[in-house]
Amino acid sequence: MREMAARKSDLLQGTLDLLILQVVASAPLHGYAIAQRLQQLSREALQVQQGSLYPALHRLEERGWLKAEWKNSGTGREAKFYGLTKAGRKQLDVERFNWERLAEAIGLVLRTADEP
Amino acid sequence: MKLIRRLFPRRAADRINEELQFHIDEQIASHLAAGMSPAEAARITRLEFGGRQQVKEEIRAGRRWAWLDDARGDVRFALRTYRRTPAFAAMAVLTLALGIGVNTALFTVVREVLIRQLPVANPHELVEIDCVPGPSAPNNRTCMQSYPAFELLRQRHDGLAGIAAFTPAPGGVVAVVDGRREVVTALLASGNMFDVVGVAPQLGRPLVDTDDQPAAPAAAVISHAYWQRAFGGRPEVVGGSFTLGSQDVMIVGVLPRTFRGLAFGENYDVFLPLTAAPQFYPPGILTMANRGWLTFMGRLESGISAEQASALLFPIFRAATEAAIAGVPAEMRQKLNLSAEGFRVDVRTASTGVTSSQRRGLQPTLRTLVPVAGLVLTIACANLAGLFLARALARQKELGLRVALGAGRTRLVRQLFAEILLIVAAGGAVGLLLAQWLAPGGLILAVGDGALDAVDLRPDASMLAFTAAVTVATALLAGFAPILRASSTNAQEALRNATAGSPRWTKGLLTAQVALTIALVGIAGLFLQTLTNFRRIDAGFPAERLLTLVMDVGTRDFDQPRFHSYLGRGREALAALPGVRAVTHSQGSLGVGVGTFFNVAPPGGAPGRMRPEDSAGVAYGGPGYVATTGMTLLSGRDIAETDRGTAPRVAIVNESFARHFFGRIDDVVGRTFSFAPAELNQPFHIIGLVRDARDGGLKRPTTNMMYAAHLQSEVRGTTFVLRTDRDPAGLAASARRTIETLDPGVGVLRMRSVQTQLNEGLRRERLLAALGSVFAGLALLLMAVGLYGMLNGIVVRRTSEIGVRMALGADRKRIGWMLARETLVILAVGIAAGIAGELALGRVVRAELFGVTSTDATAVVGAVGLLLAVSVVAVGIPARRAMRIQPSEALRQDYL
Repeated sequence: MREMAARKSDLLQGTLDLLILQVVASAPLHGYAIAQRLQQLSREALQVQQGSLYPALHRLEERGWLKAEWKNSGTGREAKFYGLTKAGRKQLDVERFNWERLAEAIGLVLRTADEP
Repeated sequence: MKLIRRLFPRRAADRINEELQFHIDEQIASHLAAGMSPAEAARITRLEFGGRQQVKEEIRAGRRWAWLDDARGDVRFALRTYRRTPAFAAMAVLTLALGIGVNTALFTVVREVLIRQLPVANPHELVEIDCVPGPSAPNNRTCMQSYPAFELLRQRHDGLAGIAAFTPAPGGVVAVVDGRREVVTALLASGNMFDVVGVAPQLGRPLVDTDDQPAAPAAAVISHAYWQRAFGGRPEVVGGSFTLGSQDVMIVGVLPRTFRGLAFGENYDVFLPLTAAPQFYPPGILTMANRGWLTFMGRLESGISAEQASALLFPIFRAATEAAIAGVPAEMRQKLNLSAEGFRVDVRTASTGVTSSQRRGLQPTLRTLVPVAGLVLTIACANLAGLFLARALARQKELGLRVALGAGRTRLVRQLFAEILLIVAAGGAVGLLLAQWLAPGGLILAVGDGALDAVDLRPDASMLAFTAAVTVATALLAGFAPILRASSTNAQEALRNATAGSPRWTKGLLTAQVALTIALVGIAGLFLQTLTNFRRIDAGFPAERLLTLVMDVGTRDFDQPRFHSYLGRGREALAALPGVRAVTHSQGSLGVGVGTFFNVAPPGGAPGRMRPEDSAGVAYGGPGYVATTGMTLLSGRDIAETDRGTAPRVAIVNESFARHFFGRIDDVVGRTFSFAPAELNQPFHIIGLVRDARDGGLKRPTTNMMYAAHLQSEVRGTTFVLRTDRDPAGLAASARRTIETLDPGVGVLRMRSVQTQLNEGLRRERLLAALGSVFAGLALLLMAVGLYGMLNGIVVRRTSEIGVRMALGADRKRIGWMLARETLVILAVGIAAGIAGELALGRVVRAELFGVTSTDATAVVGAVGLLLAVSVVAVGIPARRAMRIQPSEALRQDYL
């Protein structure tokens, strides 16, 4: 089991959006911070490739779920901060609901399959 | 600031580099902090980050196609929904396809008939020029579009760059190509016509002024269609010759395919110089100043308006008119109502061609059909909206759930709109295909097989644009109600109680649909009655056993004895055919209408000014005319063999004639009358009186008619008339063979039974009745589907409620009644509004009705009855289903 947890798993299709929305839900963050948070919150289990993080951020911005703003990063440099919009918050609820349903469904299947 | 950013969103995208650089720098910094050497930190970061260019590309691609992804998702979702409900999808697409198909077809025909311009350079400069009686002298018809007038105008035509004259060869000409005979249509045109109109032949040369001389060798330009049909499209026919009428003519040119003639629906195979006219018209026609037989077409000089041209041309027309009446003494001028004053020159645009009888005939039909087709589309639209609404109601739970989960209203609306758009696009596409078949079909029904030669019904940009516009408008209209309904979906309410929310919109739409259906069915009833009334008219003679053969003998240079001998031999030969009871020859009337009216001098009346009402239609009949045609001879005798040459001029008159001119119908045989003015015309002796007949056509009210002896007149136009004892169609071939072997130089122009001709006259009525019935049937069907859909939806939604009611002891009849009641208000309001609509629409189409008023009660009652009968079926099926609900099952259903 430990070995499995230690392996960095690939993200399920579509779940990256959910994770991003969740991470920026409390406060606007810039891309690097989002990547750090994801890694940190999943206890290093999830590592996001920059190759998919930035396209996802821009896509979510395009859909109106994220709004972006350039502001001081605290280190004296300007960085692009992403925050949740109202629509984004709703979308987060939808995706979370979908995810929980899916997780429950998978769990159901696994539990049932275990029964003799 | 915000606005600017919104205006230039690309600026933000351009900072991608900066954004990525920030990430990389941060990462390197973190690696350095962990104790790596700068080189090592940079290397690891590069590895971790991957290709920066690639990331940028992906960002850009993601941005650009995001909306398309959304749209694709919407469409895919919509498709999936429809796959689950194929019957709904099919019904909706079909409804729309019919609505759009009918309208596109009508648009195509309207475009061709009323809008399409002549395929020549600057068609808007072309004008048609007429001289017409002015308001001060409405009966003065002295100004004539004669050949002498044209000669004057050709020399002087102020305001016009040029003026041309043309006229068709009446009845057509028999052409012989490689031994094959064919009746072709010919236009006689002044030598400058092609130049003035601006048509260049695709092969050879046009007709020119030197062809248009009495002594010039006979030359002709032929149409593209005729070139293909008769000469197989061989280019070497130019310069060759063929037999046309009584002479050989040389083909000098072939016209392009796009040129279909100068008047809508009048397509000519052959174009001949105007100086060839004496072959087809009375011999002196080119010098007669009192015959208006030409159409004048001109091209305006640039900068000159039609009104200016009219004023500039007036003195020339007046000079021509003065020259025409110069020889008539003053007192005779007054008597004959001749004056070179009081008329006006009418110059009107001819960019779509000169006045065309076909266009004039089609115009009122099209004007009637446009609102009817619009109504069909409206019904289709309402039906579609109803279908979508019913669906939206059925999906209330689903929509409610989605709203509860946070789906934005815009997202929902977009999804619904995608569903509607998908159906509408499919409907539009099918409708476009349908129109390809409907438009020619309808036109043939309206005008006849020949009509298709006049038009080009192939789809073009304008047609596609029209269909697209109608389709989008329909999508918006049909989508409006359901989308409004969906966007107001209240999540809590929808989830708590799926039966909540009355289908108010659905009911409103259905009411509108009932109203429109009543109006359409009522109008169709009026058209049907009109057709029946025309069919019921007694023609006054048995037309179904009469065959007519229109001959071109009149265009042959036969002298009088030879012409008469030909008619005699023709009658004999045709009478010898088995199945032929009697034969005569005639000119005018008999299903073709009365072409000639003459002023008759009131017998015994004081010679005064001519009154327009003192006119009579004149037809000419050979020996045995009354007996052969089967008209009823009330007194006197038929035209006889001996009524020819120097014998007294005789005529048979009808009752209207006798009543109008003699005030009585008894005792008119033996009296005389003459054309006005009496002192210039020979008298006619009335030898017989016949009952009024509609021999000129069923639609023509009976007029004063006289039938003069063909052999006593100068009239050369000849139609053999055969009374048969069987279906005339069976005799056509042998009659043609017989008459063509009699004199191979004389050909048959047309051969038809009189009944066919009378029926031809009812084309428009038949078309309106047929289309009206089809549209009304469609409307009824759509309405039935709508009613059924609504009630069925109610039954499905209220199954458990009905189950409870039944479990509590409600009897099945009550349940059925409860459901039927849902439709009562819809029907009552719809029918009332529909009757009002029918009365309004009836006024619009009043001109098309005969023997029935626009407020006819039968039509209204019939429409209401039919609608109720259909409604009973549409309501009955779901009501029965509700009555059969088993309470036990119904109550369980909700928890499955």
